[in-house]
Amino acid sequence: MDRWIFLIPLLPFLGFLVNGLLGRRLSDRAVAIIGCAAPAGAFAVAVAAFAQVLQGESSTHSLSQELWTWIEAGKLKVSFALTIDRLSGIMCLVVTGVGSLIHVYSTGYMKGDSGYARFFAYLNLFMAAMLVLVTADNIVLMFLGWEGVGLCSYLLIGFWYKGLANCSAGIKAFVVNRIGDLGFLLGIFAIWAAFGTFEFKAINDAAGSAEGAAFWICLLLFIGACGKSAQIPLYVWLPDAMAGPTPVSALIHAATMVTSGVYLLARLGPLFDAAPGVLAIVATIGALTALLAALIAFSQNDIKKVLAYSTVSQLGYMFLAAGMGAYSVAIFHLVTHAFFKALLFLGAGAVIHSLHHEQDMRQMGGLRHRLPWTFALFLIGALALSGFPLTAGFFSKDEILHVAHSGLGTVDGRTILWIIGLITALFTAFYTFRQVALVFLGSYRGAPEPQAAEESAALGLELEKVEESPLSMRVPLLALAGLSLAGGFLAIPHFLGLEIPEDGKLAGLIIGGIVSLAGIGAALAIYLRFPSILERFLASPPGKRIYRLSTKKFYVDDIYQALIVRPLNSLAELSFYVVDRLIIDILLVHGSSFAVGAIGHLLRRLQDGRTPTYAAWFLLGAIVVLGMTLWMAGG
Amino acid sequence: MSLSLDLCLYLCTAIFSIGVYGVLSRQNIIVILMSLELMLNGVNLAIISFGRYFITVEGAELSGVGASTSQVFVIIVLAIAAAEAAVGLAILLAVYRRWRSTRVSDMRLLKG
Repeated sequence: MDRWIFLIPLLPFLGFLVNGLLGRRLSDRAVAIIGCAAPAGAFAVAVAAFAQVLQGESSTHSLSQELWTWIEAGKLKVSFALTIDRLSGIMCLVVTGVGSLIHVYSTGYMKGDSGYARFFAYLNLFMAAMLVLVTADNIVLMFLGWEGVGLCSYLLIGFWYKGLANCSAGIKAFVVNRIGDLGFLLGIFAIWAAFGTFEFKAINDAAGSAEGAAFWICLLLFIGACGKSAQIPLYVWLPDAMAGPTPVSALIHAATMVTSGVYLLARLGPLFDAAPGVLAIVATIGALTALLAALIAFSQNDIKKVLAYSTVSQLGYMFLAAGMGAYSVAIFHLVTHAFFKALLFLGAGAVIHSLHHEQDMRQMGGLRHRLPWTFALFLIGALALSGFPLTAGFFSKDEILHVAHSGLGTVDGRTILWIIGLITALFTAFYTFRQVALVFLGSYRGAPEPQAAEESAALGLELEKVEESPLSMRVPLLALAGLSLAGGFLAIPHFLGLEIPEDGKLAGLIIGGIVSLAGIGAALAIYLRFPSILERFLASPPGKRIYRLSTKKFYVDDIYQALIVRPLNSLAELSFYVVDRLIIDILLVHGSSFAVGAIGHLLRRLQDGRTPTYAAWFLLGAIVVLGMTLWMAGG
Repeated sequence: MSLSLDLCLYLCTAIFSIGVYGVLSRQNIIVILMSLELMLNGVNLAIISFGRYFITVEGAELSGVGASTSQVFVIIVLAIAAAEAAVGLAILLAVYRRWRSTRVSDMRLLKG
């Protein structure tokens, strides 16, 4: 089995090549089949590999395959080598499994789009890069995958490139990511300086002896993780990334790419354990991000933006767990989150698709009658996200809260972070069911009743025209719903070899369940029965201020705009008008041609066609030569 | 006063300079040719002067330089000057046929 690992990233890459180069000439059906077969094939190989890893003697058993030497320069050697152990095996399964489902969904969602083949090509390329990222056995190869997924994220966010906003969103994502990547690169250099190797195994084994260096390395790597996984202060690209097609949002910005940062921390767990200061920072930023994003999600009216901020918030939870040293708990939440967030995004996509690309929730409502399947499956996702008892999200989120409260091993429990986590869980349930209520419950606000046509201000589609989505979109939703319900029982932390102290677990589960139910109940009550409570709150001065903070996203984007974007734009304008136009174009280019012309003008007087002039130059020359001869002979 | 070398050379310089002035500043092409001859003759005079001067200096017989050396030199120069004058006049005739003028400033194709 060792010899077949390379198929896991290779199959999607081949899919990319075929659909990318030949896709224009193939039928949509062929493109879809190739595009879905590639990740499905990778999934099959991943399952086989994982099964073999599970049968190994110890929990650290792994399969490795070195493909070729990539860089070799003196002592520096980096190979293209892949390894499947329990951690990367789980990641592979999630990426290929959820990825395949999303590919199938895309065949229905993207139907009729002129860039059909291009979409699947990019999606497959993304899968290939992501799989390289998770199976890499050294950090440089991982960085290759890291950059690859960043590239694909840019390509897919700006997929409908004719719209300026889409392209800007893609650029924003790439640039913000790049800032994080600087940290990552510096971390790689620091690793080389401290350890002399890039391989994860070697680094982890030697981690104990490099305390001082570990702090800086981990800090730099965490900056990289913040960029990719949308934590404070580098999360601003994720909500804008919703400009891309919904399957992209589901795959890249919910289930897989954004989790790379968490995976990085899990991979280098022993190294981070040697830097407790950084872990504290990680946990704090994770908790704060979770809270901040939840507060912004309250006021969003776009169905995808709510889910985007929700993703940022849940990623914060994962970093909170990682910051407590409980990396496998973070991975557990990563897996369950992949299931239910992909489900929610795909469900939102189904709604958008059925409403002919309406995304504003204020134009929705009462859709549960017209879209029963979508409603049921979306509801399951919402329950999982809110941590409703016994769903996958319930178990993973409570595991996180448990380690935040009681600590793990050498890391003490931090009560303040636990409280933040609990409050955020309440908010999560609230805004999630606010969304459910606005979209599916109540009555339809999108189009007027026939009688009230003249007075109504609604702009949406007539209710009768709203239809359920095709099977190609519904089956993946079903699969993901099943996983969202059953996934909690997978006990991934135990799988990954982590034993968590049990005391207080039951109490924690009960508290988590109560919080979740409270949030759900409050949201449903307010939005369905007692909207006046909300209106009174929003009319009051503190309510207005909080609402403004939330809708303006806490002014973070505006701060960045003022502090960073505008100065850089001014610098760019300066460079353009002064350096490029003035100095280079006018002074240097036109200037040099002008200088040549001027010299030519002067020199032209030498040859005026008049013989006496030439005679005079003869004389002058003769005098000069004579003078020089006398001077040299005399001296 | 006796005829010193300096005096002879002053005369030669004067003749030569007049010739140079004539070549550079006169418009009539025949005058230019005549001035050219003047320059040549000026130089001839200088050579003869040096020849005469060196005879009266001690050690001149030792180095083999004598009056006859300069005289031979000048004869050759004169012959060449004559030949050159003939060629110059032939060129003048050809140029006159083209430009129909004897003014040197009329004989140009370049516009300046």
